[in-house]
Amino acid sequence: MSELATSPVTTPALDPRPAARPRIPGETGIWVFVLGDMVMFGAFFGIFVEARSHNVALFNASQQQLLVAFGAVNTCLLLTGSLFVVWGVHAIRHGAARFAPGLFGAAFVCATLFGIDKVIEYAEKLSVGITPATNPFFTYFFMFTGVHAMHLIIGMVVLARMRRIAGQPALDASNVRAIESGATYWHLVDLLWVVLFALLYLLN
Amino acid sequence: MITYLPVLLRQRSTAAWAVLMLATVISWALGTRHGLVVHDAKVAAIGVLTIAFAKVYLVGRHFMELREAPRSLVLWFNGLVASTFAIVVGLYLWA
Repeated sequence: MSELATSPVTTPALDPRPAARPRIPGETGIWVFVLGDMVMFGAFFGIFVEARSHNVALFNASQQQLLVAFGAVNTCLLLTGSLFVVWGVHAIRHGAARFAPGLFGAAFVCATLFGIDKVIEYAEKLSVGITPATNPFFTYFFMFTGVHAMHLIIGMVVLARMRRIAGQPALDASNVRAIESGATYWHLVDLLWVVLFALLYLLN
Repeated sequence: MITYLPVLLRQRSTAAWAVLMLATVISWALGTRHGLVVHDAKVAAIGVLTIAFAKVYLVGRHFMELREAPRSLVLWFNGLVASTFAIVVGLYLWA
């Protein structure tokens, strides 16, 4: 783990090292959080599949009440939001920082649309009497997507902060590192949803 | 922004995004078994899980920039993804 030193600076103008040299995007701490969160969600995934094995018919029937389009659209929104974030970080590193606030703003819009989609889906389920207490499938569905939604809300705050930092007239190394850390967190939100989509909406 | 767009479109991460979107459509078709000739539920399910974890790998490598990260971090990340995949598939098949 000795290699896990925080990357110093990421803007080429500020960092003369060759780009090929290994480096950690953002702070080391954000990666500790990312890996820890992946372990926690990994446990969620295992618990869900194990619970499913005890009542496959119930889980499959419950899954039929989900509209796959909700999950698929949300997957595309998060992937596209992640691309905007990647582009924004690229712009900052390559002398085009003026484009970064708009790109982070576009990612924020994707996140907002994800949230709206999720609210519509929850409302639709609740309107027909489906709640977390309906059966084990929906307990897991609301719990896992709810925890993920908390990640999304934090991610939206992070994106707003990234946009504000990127809008500053001049960025120093700590600004760039903060943006990289925020970007890494945002990609975690995307990454976790990719598996949740597969397990909750598609696995039958 | 229009002038800078071609630069962004040429990035490897943009190609990764296109692959991720295509993989989402394929897994959707596999999971709902529409338009594909996979009629065996277990094969389709393993396909869905494989695509999902392959997407996680791509997000890590291209969006989270692990392709440029120190080997130790890459090993931690990939090891976690691979072990979670193995546990989930194992539980699906044998639990």
